[in-house]
Amino acid sequence: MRDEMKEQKSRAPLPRFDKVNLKAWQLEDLDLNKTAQHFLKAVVPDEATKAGVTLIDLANQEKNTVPGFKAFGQVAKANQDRLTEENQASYQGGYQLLVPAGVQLTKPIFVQQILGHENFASRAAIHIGAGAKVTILEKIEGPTDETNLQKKVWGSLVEELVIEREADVRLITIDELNKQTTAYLNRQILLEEGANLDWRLAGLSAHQVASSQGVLLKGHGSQAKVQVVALAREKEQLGFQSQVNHVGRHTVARIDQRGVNMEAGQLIFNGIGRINLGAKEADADQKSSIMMLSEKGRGEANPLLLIDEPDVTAGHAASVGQIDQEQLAYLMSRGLRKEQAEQLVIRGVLNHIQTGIGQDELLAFLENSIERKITYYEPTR
Amino acid sequence: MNELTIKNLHVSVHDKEILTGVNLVIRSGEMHAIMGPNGTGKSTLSAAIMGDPNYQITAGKIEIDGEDVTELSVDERARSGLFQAMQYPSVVPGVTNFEFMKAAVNARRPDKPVSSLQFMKQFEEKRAFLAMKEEVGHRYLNEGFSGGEKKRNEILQMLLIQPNLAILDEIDSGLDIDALKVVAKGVNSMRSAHFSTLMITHYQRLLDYIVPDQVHVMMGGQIVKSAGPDLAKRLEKEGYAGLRDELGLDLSLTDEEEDWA
Repeated sequence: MRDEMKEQKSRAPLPRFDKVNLKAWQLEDLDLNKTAQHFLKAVVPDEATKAGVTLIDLANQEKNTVPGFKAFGQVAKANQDRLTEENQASYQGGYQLLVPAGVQLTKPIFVQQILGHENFASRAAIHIGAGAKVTILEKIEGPTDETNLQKKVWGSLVEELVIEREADVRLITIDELNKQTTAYLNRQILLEEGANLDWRLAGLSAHQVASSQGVLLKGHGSQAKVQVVALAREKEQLGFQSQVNHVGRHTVARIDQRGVNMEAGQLIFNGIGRINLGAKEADADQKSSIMMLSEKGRGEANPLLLIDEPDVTAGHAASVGQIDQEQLAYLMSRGLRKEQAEQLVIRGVLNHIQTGIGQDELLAFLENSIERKITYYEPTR
Repeated sequence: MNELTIKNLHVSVHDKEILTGVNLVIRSGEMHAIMGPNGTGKSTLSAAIMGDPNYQITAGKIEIDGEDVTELSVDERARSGLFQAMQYPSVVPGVTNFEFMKAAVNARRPDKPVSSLQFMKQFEEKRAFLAMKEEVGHRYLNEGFSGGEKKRNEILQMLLIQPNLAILDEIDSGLDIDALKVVAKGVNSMRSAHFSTLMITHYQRLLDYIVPDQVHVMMGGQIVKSAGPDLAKRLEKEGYAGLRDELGLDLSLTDEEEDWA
């Protein structure tokens, strides 16, 4: 298998990720242990199970070839890039989730992947049937115990999601990979006619992560909102690339990436809006903004619009700036110390992703993860 | 905090001297007002007392209970009992009014912070007292607030933080009568032996609702006259020119001696 892999190595290039030096991250040809720890914890509400929702743990079961389950290898094609190719050939675990047509859930489905101290390749495939309505909360994290602190870990995740016609999906993604982990996360979503996606991603990993979010608005009238929040701390290198491809007519996309660079870390936001010929009356807007708290860090917001269809509306905004000194002065004038005032402002930027998210207790995972990263104190300082 | 003493204070901004030797003593329990023509340094005085780093003290001292506070930062001075209701409060998106005020209150009680639940009661009580809308706690700090709402929000903060000395920088500007009455109600409710204020204002009207113990007039960067509340009424009638001439000061005032060429 390894020799075949090496031959095929020359076929697909590394993923295109502007401003991030993926080659230097050494994510290719990973040594992957087939039995590496890959825990899956899930909360599937009763109403979902009763309605036929199925969740398969890919570490323990072969993928289930349900007829019509379109999300395996059809959204993120293997030849898309080398890392996706390698992931799909050697994944050790992950999950497959099917929400049948017409299923309307009031409570969220929660899937949590907990990795071990080893190189990993994780695969996720989600299929949402026509007319279904669901909230999915997913989280991937590395081990948090302090053993093996020196051992570096490399890995990848490839996730595919198909949303069939008229379905309505809210996807909340929390990435909390730890200080030893270098990873490439590739999530690709396809929307059919009239489908709607509200995607919120919290990028809270602690070392080197390149996170790619791709949405294909294939069906007419499909709409997607992609919101990313990220926090980079000392020495972290985090890159986020959100791309929406407009193919169908009357499609609407909003990309909104907001981040804070607290110390001498690196935070890159790439936004790509691609409107293909024929995607008439497309409406595409993207904005990326980074707040820098330290002069030593590096923050970049790169918007890109590729428009091949004249009958469209498209806009973009990108900004990288300092934390507002007047705001800080105002907060401090009420007795808050500088760090406290900064934390309030940072929390304000990142918690934007929780607006309108509802009250379910599972959603506290999102708030707690964000809070953990804001208040993390590096003991060796 | 019992006493704020300002001795011969000279303050410059961008090397331009604005305060030319201010002397002032405010004791606990006293309500002071400062009036004066535009550009005379009233806001500079308030900023210097709070410790705004944009203002340089070139001579003189600011003391709290006999201790020089010039080296203390803004947040340190705030924690020691000072509060300034701003003329132009900042908007801070993403931070709710509730969250912020709770943090401000807890900044003064690091060992025994108040919980959200406990604070909710106090917040609701003061909010209702100032006739502010129920949703004000959830709204982002001053975001979408009119000028009058922002001023009321400053008073709400003051009622929750309970400072010893509140500097009210033109708290009446932009307020209609009803809003002004609510603000005055808030300030008057704080009157006690442990509370003092320094109100900066242009208009006599505020001082009808919050009657001061002393009124000071600033001209040319220093306090040129101090007296009781009647001084404000006199200025209302005569303007500043009369007082300036009486004191024999060599100063030009706004709208005087303009070239109509």
